Amino acid sequence: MSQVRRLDCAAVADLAPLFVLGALPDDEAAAVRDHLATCPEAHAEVQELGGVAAYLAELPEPVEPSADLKGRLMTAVEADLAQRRLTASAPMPAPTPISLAAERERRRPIVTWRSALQAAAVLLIGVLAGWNLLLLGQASSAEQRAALLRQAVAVAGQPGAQVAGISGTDVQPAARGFVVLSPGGGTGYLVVDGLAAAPTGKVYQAWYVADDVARSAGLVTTADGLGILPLSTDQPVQVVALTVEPAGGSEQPTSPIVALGRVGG
Amino acid sequence: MNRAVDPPPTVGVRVPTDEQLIERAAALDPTAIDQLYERYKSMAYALAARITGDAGLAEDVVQDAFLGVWRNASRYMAARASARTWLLSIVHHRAIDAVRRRRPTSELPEADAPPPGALVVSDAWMEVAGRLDREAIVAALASLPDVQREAIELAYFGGLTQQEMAARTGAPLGTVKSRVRLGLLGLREALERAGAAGRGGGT
Repeated sequence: MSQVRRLDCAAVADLAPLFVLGALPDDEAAAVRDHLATCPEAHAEVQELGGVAAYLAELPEPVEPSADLKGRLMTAVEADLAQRRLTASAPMPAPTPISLAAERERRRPIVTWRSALQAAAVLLIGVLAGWNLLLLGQASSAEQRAALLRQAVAVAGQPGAQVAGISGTDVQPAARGFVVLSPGGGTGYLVVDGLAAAPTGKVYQAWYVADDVARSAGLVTTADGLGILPLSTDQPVQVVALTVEPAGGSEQPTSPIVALGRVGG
Repeated sequence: MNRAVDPPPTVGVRVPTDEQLIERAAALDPTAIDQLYERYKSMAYALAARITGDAGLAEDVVQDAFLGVWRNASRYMAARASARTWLLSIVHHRAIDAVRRRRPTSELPEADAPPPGALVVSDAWMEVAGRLDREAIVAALASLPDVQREAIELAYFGGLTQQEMAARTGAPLGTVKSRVRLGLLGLREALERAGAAGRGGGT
């Protein structure tokens, strides 16, 4: 499969009818494509037969897809856009801050399952100790979570509050939720339900995205797929996004966005 | 020149062409995909459903294809084919791919499908017959001898390779190849006739 057969012009002309209909095995189709991409000849037979084949696409009687397909598509497009902008604006191999998490990964010797667990536990303790404020957001008891949800709903109910839906991307299509920001902006809540349990050694991290720059909004712990995070920011926010990051979180997103919501222009 | 759907009476906003929408998608404007989707969702879905025979898989294919349009918009070359042809060829390609992956007997590389930009589909020739309505294309296909029509359908809508078609129909490989070739040439003639008749008949 590594060595692609090279074709001459006559062979391409011979395969053209099958090629334009998509009836060649993948490797042969790739060989034809390679030839066409580099051949100085016009290969009119491929052009013409390709034109005939194009009419076949018009044959099936049009049928409406289900209404929610558009929402799924546009969520995927928005996520791709956010992702591309972040990657484009992420500091290239800059001399400045490398991801703390990546650095930890790099320094960690060969990891056994047990040592990974221990490391994760140590990290978790460190995180918990350092993020007193976040303790609120990582409320474990049902009562605490209910209290946070009530506060989120209370903020959402204020006149002038910003409320935006959160949808899962292809990575986690089941994720759903909302972001609320207080009328003056600044504080609010991120509520996401339907999240898969984070893989061992990983956490969910939320991001404020504005002008193609991501800032951490904090780590989100989940229970039964539900994650709630108090938000606090003094800068404008356009998008709130969620990614899976190594335990302890990252400086910048390092994995595909699993859910996002557009808060403002 | 062929006329696409007439834009509605002006409200001060011009309806962008498909090609302009692709250009906007290339400039990272998601609303362009929104509009392209509205224009082509029914055709795209019908094509994907015909090939996959599975409503859920067809929707995945359509989503995947439009996402492909979004991601590869900057590689679209207007000189090669109309945006419509390009978009539908991506749907076709992804649908065939999905069907082949689902088929347990086929041995397929795990590698990703080649990017749509690499697809060679030209409708320069389409100028000859022009844009035909669906009935005219159905009639043109129906005018072919059965074995040729069947060969084209098995390939284009069935996602079968030459070898699979030979196994399915019991015909030798060479026969399959010539049926496909003759079928496409015959279809081309029939489409040209229909195009000429359409132009002669006005409207």
